[in-house]
Amino acid sequence: MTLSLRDLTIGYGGLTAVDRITLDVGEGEVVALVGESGCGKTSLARALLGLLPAAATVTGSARLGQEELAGRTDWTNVRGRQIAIVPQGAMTGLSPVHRISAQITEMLTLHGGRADPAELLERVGLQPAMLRCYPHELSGGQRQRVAIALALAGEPRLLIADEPTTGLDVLTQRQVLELLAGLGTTMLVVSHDLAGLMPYADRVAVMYAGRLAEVGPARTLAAEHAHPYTAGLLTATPVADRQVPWGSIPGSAPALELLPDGCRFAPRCPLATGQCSLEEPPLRTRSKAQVACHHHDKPTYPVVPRSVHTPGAPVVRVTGVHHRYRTRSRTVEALRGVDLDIHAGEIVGLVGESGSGKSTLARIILGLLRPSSGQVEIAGEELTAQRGRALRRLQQRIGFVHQDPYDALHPGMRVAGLVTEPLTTIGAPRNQRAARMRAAVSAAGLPTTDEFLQRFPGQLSGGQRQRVSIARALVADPLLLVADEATSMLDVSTRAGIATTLRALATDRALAVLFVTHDLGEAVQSCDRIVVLRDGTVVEQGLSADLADAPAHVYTAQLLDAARTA
Amino acid sequence: MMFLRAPRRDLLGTQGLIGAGILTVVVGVALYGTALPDDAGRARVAEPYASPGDGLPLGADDLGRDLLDQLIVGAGTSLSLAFIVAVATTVLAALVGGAAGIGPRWLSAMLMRGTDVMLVLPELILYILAAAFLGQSFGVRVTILALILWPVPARVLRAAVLTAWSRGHLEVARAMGAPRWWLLLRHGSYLIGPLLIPVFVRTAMRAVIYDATLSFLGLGDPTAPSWGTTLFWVQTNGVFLSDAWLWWALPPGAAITLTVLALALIGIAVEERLNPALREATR
Repeated sequence: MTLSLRDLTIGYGGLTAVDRITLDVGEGEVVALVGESGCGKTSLARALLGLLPAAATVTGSARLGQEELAGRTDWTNVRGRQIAIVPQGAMTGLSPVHRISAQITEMLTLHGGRADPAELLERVGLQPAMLRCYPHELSGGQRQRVAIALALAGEPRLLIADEPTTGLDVLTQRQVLELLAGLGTTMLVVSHDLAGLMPYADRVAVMYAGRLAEVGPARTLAAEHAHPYTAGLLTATPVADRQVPWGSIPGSAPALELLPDGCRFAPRCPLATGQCSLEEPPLRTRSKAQVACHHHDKPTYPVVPRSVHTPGAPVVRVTGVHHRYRTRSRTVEALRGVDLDIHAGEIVGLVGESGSGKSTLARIILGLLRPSSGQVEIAGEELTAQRGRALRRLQQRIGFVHQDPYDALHPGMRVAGLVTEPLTTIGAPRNQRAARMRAAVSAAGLPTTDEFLQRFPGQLSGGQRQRVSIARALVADPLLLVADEATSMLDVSTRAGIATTLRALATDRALAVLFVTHDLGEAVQSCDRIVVLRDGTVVEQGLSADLADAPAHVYTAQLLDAARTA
Repeated sequence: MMFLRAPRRDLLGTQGLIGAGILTVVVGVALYGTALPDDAGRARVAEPYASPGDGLPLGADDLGRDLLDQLIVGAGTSLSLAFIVAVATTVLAALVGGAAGIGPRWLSAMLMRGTDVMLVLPELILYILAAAFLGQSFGVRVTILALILWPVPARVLRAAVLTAWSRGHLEVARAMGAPRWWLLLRHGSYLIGPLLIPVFVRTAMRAVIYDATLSFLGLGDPTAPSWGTTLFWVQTNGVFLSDAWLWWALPPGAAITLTVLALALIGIAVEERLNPALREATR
């Protein structure tokens, strides 16, 4: 065993973030540690390198060969040489003022590595010529590779990769994971993306609320998982195939202060019985895997409903939109002639990688950006020609759900105030505001208790915040809802729930929805029609089912391929 | 991360609390000064050059005027001037910075080029020249100072407005069709408002120094007692050649230093906590 954890426990001032974890990583093995945000996986990874804040307490044992890592104070010759980390967001952490060669040489000197910088780069699949580059000259995927090369410089026995694919495009994500899996180094990969890691890991350890839920071989996990949470994570990952249902786990992960007794997953589990809330299930060996669950049945989760596609009257008509961003030195053509229609009651998915122009198009439809040329009609009215008050009146008929739930809500306003705000700006009659606010809050799938309405955004979970955003977008009875990557920053288990809400709104209120996303799988699952955007041009559009079955464009096929395996 | 709670927001810290303590004492003295008779510090109450003694803790100046009274009344002059200048400057800077931040491009360009021109001019020399030609009354001095001190804070506030404008909740509100004034008052103020405190405190600090300098050069109002004026008489009478500097020159000098120090401590402490750029750097 290269790494063996025994009852490793990490606490922050009395709250337990990681609770009695026992896990082994064998020589040359790639183990994926998977869980949603706040489950303790990052704490665990950091504890192994002694990178936790001083207030944290680590008990139990974590042995790397002969070295005890838990509670260690002297990290010389261990950190970087025996165990190294590719930290979260490492690609943005490279020094912008040093060449790649200088940064690699620094690591080699620090950790006594004997490798040649050029060889290191070749090992991570980069040209040696890139040694002379500065980080800003490289793409995100290339920078992530450099970060991996830096971690490899000290020839560590164990490499820890913390969310190695965050912030990368789907196609690049796969390449980075392929690279990591092919390095041959013993590795602990920490990630929230269970389905994405399964093809590349040897074993998968699923964590929930600080405890291990299931540990099993990755190859058979898709078919033979035993814990309801694993099943939930798998069904919550959207697959680009309309035959596979997309489900969500109800509720959200518990805060550390409010950990339930017994099985921690019980409050969200469809199989939960009285025994679950009383007795904590131990991690028991069951055939090839270890599972912490009292039950043996398969759970069923609520799935996103499919709609029969009957489009109503067109609400949005985008014709020939071009947009150029001009700076002093260069012009970037973000959109090159895009046509798009959205009908009432229809969800249209706008899919593209970063830089494809999808956000620009969303901003143009929202009236936040004036296109260089082309027209946008909302309910027969020309949006692009309007200014000032007339533009604002048209904008009030469009709801907007922002990508970032943590930045999209005024931190000093309460839920009730946030949802009422659009009514104030349109000047709705005062005596109707409270009732309309409550109607919107409940349509967005939130409780309308007074206690909840008086909360600040800081007291809500990510999913709840995004629902408040949806309620805000709905309250003024819009014709069109623009959801800009509305689920991308949410935990995977809550995404399908948001998609279900959007579907219900589109059907019940005959709302036209533009769903902007980088995840083709999600679009196939939740949208009626899909528009694939690449480099500012629509490469393909069609009904979701048709597009998923028989993509006409090579690029769509590539994206579909990535969405199926990852 | 959910378990790493943000520390409880204390606006001042030890450093700022010391500053606030000193400032409270100075304000207390100034308030006491308003209760003194109108001619306190101006009337002849003792022999010229009297040494400290009974009823005259700090002695008298060359005209037999009570130096302690001058010190106390001077506190009022300095602080009220600083306060009014700070209010006027902050309002002016907020208006210019806000307009440059959210206004049309031509307005922004015009205001910012104007600010650049103002920034190039040496503040103190401009103040002394203007006061020498326009008069030394309290109102004129306040007006000149406010008109000289706004450019730096205006730039800071414009940057704050621009940063705030790119935040998610402002973008959402803009997409909702909310008018600009609503955006600024309802959403922007939450982000920009806290920055006004350091702007206010630092302007007050500079106003105290500049006004004391003006009076020290003898260009202030020679009849109104103030710390700077007392120091001007110290200089003209050659007080430093005798022991009298101890009770004549040291107290107003120390008062100016302490007031400025107090304001600086508060200003730095508040700014470190509220200015996002500095908050990142100190972490």
